[in-house]
Parts: sequence; C-alpha cells; structure tokens
Amino acid sequence: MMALGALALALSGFAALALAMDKHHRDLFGSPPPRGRAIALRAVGWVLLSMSLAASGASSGPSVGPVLWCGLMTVAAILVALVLTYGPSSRSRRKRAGAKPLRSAAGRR
Amino acid sequence: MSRGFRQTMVPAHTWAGLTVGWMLYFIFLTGTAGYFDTEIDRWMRPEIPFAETFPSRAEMLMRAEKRLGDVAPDAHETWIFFPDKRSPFLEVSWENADHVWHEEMLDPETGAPIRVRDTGGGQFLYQLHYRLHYLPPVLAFWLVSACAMFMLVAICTGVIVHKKIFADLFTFRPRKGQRSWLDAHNVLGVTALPFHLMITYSGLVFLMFTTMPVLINAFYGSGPEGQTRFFIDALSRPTDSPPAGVAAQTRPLTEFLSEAERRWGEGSVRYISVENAGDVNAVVEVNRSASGGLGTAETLLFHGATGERRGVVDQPAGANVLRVALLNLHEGLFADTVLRWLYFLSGLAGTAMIATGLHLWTVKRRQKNTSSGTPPAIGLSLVERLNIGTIVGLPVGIAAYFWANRLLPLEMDGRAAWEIHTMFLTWVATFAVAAWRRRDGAWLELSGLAAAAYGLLPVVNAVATDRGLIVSIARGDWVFAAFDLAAVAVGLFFLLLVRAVRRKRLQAATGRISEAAMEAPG
Repeated sequence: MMALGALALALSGFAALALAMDKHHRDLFGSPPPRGRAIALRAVGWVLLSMSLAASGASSGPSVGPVLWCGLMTVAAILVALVLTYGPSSRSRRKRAGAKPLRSAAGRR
Repeated sequence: MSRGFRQTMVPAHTWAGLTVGWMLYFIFLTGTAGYFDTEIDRWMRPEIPFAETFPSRAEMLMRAEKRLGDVAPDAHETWIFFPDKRSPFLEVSWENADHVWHEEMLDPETGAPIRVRDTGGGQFLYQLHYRLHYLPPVLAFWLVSACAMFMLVAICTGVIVHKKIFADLFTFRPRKGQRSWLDAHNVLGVTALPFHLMITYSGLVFLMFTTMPVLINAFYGSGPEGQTRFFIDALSRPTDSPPAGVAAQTRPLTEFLSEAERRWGEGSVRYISVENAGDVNAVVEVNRSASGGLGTAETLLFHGATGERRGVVDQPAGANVLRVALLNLHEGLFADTVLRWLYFLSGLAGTAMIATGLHLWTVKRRQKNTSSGTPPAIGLSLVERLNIGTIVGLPVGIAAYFWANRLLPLEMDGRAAWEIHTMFLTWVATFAVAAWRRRDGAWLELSGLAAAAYGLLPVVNAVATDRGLIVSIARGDWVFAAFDLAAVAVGLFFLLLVRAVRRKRLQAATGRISEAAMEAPG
C-alpha cells in the first residue's frame, strides 16, 4: 500500500518536472512556463520525488527502500512520457496542428 | 564538456554496443526472465499442487525425515527445504557416499514424493544468461564478463553521447522513423539508468573470481588447495569437518528446529541440513528464510551429537559486505512481488534499449543508402539479418521451449535436454528465415510467428494440463494465471510489431507509387 503511495508521489513528481520544461508546458498550455512557475514546478517536483523516496523507505526499510524507489521512478518516468505522447492533451494538440493549414488557407482567401 | 570530447565518444558507444549487442540482448532477455525463475519453474512443473498454506515446520520435518530414512538411510549429507509462497513444496536432497546428489519434491501435506516431469524449468533460463548452456563454464564466464565490460562502456559513453537524455527524459515522438527509435532508446536508457548500471557492474563483480585471478593467485597460490582456501575465506563458509569415524547418535532435528524458531519466530526456517549424520562430528545447519534486506540470511551451526551451538555462520565482513550487497542487488532474491515486477520491467527496459540501439544502427545507415541511392553494404545487410534473428528469433525460441515443455512425451528419455534443443533449433531456424527472406518479410513473418507462439501458449496449457487460465483464476492461483496472461501480453506486443511493420511497408509502397507517378511523363 505504501509502495502504491510512493508510486503516486513519483508520478506526480515527474509530472511537475515535465511541466517545468518549456517543451511539455508549451504542448499543454500553448506557451513556455513563466520563470517563476518553472522554478516552483521544479522545486515541487524534487520535493515530491524525495517524498517518494521517504515513502519507499517506510514501505521496505532503509536498505531495500531505495531499490524500490529506483524501480518505481523508472515506471513513473516512462508512464509520464507515455501520457505526454499519447494522452488526451497530445491528441487535441495533434488536432490543432491538423487544423492550422486550414486556417492559413482561409486567411489567404 | 567540449563538443570534441562528445564526438570522440560516439564511435566508442556505437561499436561497444554493436559488436556485442546481440549477446547483450540474449543475456538481458534470459536474465530478465530469470527474475521469475521460481514462478516459471512452477508453470513448467504443473504436477506440483497449488497450495498457499502449509502444515507446521515440525510436521513437515517429520515427513521429510521419514522419506529420507526410506530412500537415503546412509546419506553422507542431507538437506530439507521448507515450502514458501513462491515454492509450495517440501524438498529433500541428499548426497550418497559415492558423491552423487539426489533430490525429490514432496507434498507438504502427505510427505509423498511428487512425480514431476523432467524439465530445465525457469532455472535453465536464468542460468542461461551467464552459463550460455552449450559452452564450457569458464569460457562462458569470460564471454559474459567481456560483454558486460562492453555494456559498461556503452552505458557510460551513452550518457555522454546522447547529449539531451536528461532534457528529453519524457520526450517520445512516434512515427518519425529514426527520430522515434532514438527517442525510445534514450527514454529506455535513462529512466532505468540506475538499474542498467547496477546490473552491469554487479554482473562483473559476480564473475570477478574467474576474470581477475591474479590477486587471488598471489595471496593463495594457483593450486587447487589454495583456491579452496580462498573460497572458504571469501564465501564465509565454515571449514568442512570430516567424519571422525566414531559413531554417535545425532540429536533429533526437531530440537534444532525449535531452537531456531525460538530465535526467529515460527515458520521462519528455510532449510535444515545435516552433514555426517550418526558420526561424532555431525554438523547441523539451520538457515533463516528471507533476510529482508541486502545482507545475508543468518545461519546457525550446531554440533549434531551434543546439540550444542557451534555458532553462527560468519556474516560477510569488510569489502565482502559490499560484494554480497551487490550480488544480492543483482539477483533481487529479497524482492517481494511488487519489487520483483519492477526488477522484471527494468530488465525489459534494458532489453528494449539494446534492441532499439541495434535497430537504430541499421535505420541510420539504411536511410543514408536510400537517399544516396547506393545499394546497402554487406555489413548493413548482415547486421539487419542478425537483428531480426536475435530480436524476434530469440523470443520465438523461448516460446518453443515452453511449447516443448507441454507437448514432449512425459516419459521421453532426455526430456529436459530436448526442451532446450527445441529452443535452440527453433532459434537457428529463425536465423535461416532472416537470412533467406526479404528484410520486411522476415520482420513480418517472424513477428507474426512470435505473436502466435505466445498468444496460443495459454491454449496449449489449458489443453495439455488441467491448470488452464480459467481454472487458475477461479482458484486464485496467480502464478499460473500471471504466466498465461504475460504470454498473451507478449503475443499482443508482437502483434503491434506486425502492425507497425505493415504500416511502414504500406507507406513505403505508396511513396514509391507517388514517386513513380511524378516521374512518369504526363
């Protein structure tokens, strides 16, 4: 159960770190994050990842906990990458990208 | 870091990865399967009944001793392994005076021997990743160590070469050819980087006694006696005490069991072994099941004749603590179900990283060929064929191993050996297909074959045994159910691969048609 909590923390931590990056923030919100928000997101991301480490330690003890954490981080990071690639926002993005040439064609007319 | 330095690392990364890439893929895939060796063992021995609760250790000890008394009254050494959730059977093994080992699985409830089919099981798959089966052990250890060294070079240079792996941690751009393969290679590499480094480095540590003998020889001598002394020191094994030839009744084993259970709690003993039973020098060893960490499980030693504690088997000390911790990290025997799955997934990520790296090499060069219009070099064709035969062919071979387990006659001579031959013969056949057929055709056909071989495995299991998927789910036998479901998942993965190859082929075909249409005088 604690392991599941650690996974949730790692997932949200990586999500925050991804959002702090220009590319992914632009994909979701249309523009890179303002400087302050990027710093805040990065800080939150690292705090959540450290909390995930703490939860892993609470779940499996001081020696196996970090091992569990590494495994969970792998899964969490891959999941975040997959959501950014195939998730709902990426689909609307592709639609928007598809809509662009139409609009420009309309503009020319 | 200067640009020049990064550039100089590129050939190192490319060639360290390519030259042993196929071996690394083999080592990673079979080693990854090895994390579930015990579970695969069970699937491959369906005669072992499903059980979740067991009688008390004392009752089982009585049954095991009775069986050993019947079949091995004069054994020089006997071992009794108690069941746990992963291995739900009682196991006895013994060494006769002629130094031949025997082992038997017993029903924990009755003590009756279980007649299991002759199979290599998951143990074989696990051992394959460092033993390489058909080769002599020392040669295999050297080869695997050399590959691991190349892997370490490839990982370290990879972090330097793929300059944006941390900035592109979450970036995967699908359907963009070379770009997508590079993204996948990077994401798989960097997300499981701690695992990749740990597994490669600890793999080298595993085999260091073979590959770095100079220091050992310098301190202990290279003769067999010196080597024995070294291993006694290194592995913290107590020295064997030879039988004195003076008869003395060994105390009943229940006494040792209850003393150990008083120390660790009930149900915590993994095995009890007796050496030189009935001699004044008899030694009884009692081992605790899970250590619950990266250390070694505690083992108690007793004088068999007096029942007196001889002490505890030495815990590793000094540098050995680090060595043992690394080996335990590599094997992950301490892992519970969740962590075992994470190990397995990390291993798959490593396997896929190697596969995408191998494929990337060909995609890059193929693209250059296509744009310049020159025919592919022989090296490129060779690598492409080896890739197909390895990346898809090996999984097909492993599926054949599972099929053989269910379909070979139970009473066949050398059954276990033939399961293994089936695997390698099938694998060789896939290389033949890869060499013979057109490139896209070979990808398509072998992926299709892999999809069918894994997708149908649950059907074969349901027909050949009475432990099909539905029965397993109904009785909550998650080891069997998970094996069948995992086979289906692997089948689906290869089906996706078939779809991707077909789409690519279609795109290429339409591309050619439109090109032809443009060039056509009109």
